[in-house]
Amino acid sequence: MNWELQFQNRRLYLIILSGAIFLFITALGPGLFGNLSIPFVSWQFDVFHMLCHQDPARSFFINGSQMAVCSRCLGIYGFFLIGWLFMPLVTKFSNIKSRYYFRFLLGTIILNLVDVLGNLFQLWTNTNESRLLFGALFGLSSALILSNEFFKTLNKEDRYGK
Amino acid sequence: MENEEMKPSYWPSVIQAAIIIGVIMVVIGLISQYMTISSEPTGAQFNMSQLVGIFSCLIAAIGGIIATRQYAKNNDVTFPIGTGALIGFLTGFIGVLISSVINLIWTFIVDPNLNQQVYDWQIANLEAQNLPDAQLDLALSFIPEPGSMATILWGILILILAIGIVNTISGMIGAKIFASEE
Repeated sequence: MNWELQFQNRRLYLIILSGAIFLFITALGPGLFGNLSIPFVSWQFDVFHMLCHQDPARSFFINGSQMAVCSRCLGIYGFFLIGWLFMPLVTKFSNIKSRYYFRFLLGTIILNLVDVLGNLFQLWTNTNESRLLFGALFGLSSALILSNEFFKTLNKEDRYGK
Repeated sequence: MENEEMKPSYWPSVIQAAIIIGVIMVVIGLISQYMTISSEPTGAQFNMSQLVGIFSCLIAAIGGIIATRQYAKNNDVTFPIGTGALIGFLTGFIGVLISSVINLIWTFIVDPNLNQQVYDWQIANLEAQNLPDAQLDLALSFIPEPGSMATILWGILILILAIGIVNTISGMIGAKIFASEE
């Protein structure tokens, strides 16, 4: 069968894409720009100070400088951007209904909550890598739940009435 | 001429959600500042006050979800994600304005010494790190003067940007979950 991808809400898609790129680049912190000054007094840290605890023990470093968000938030912002960029491909090559994306999103929220609480009550110790992975799943699911609002697959034969 | 269908206003939902996230941001900010100044400046880049944030990670981003849910449920309407994005952005924008106004009232009227105490603590903390003079001077140059108009405007602008973007996204997700026609 001959499928064609329809792109709608273009302006909104591009606005969110710009915002997601800005958030991801800012999340990488001052080290990305080779600024090795005290990270806590950089504008990148100001951007996220209401959105992330910015604990150095729970963050990755770039060029020896702490990133502006913790590893979980880095996963969220990074993989939201990846999910946003790959939206057309995901829509073209899969036929997943919205309700499954919703379950995926709900599952990743529960997964992150369980991980935070388990670590808090010392049932296990999570690592930067595990936090990055769980955050990434949440970021990815947050982008994918919106995919069919921007991209739709159409049957060409139906569209052109052949 | 066709009559346009009148949709109920989304402003009550926006204001309600904005007040919630505005107050949350103020409370987190003030607790964090008071915990900071009551601790010893040891030179550590992370202090106990920032642990408050562990429980509030991304909580300022839920405004869009709250507002779109309220709007959809209270008025029994469906709307596109573009409207959800707008509701989310407005919620973030107004939430930041509300938190900034409460913050200004607190730091200018209720506790006028708070900003100066935080500023002094930050300098003492940097000095405790035993940095080379050049690096210390550079770091100090980045710490804004407490209470200056430039500092206040910069803080509001940068918060509007960050909180605005994340609430726009959460507004779209809220519209998708609570107000989709599917």
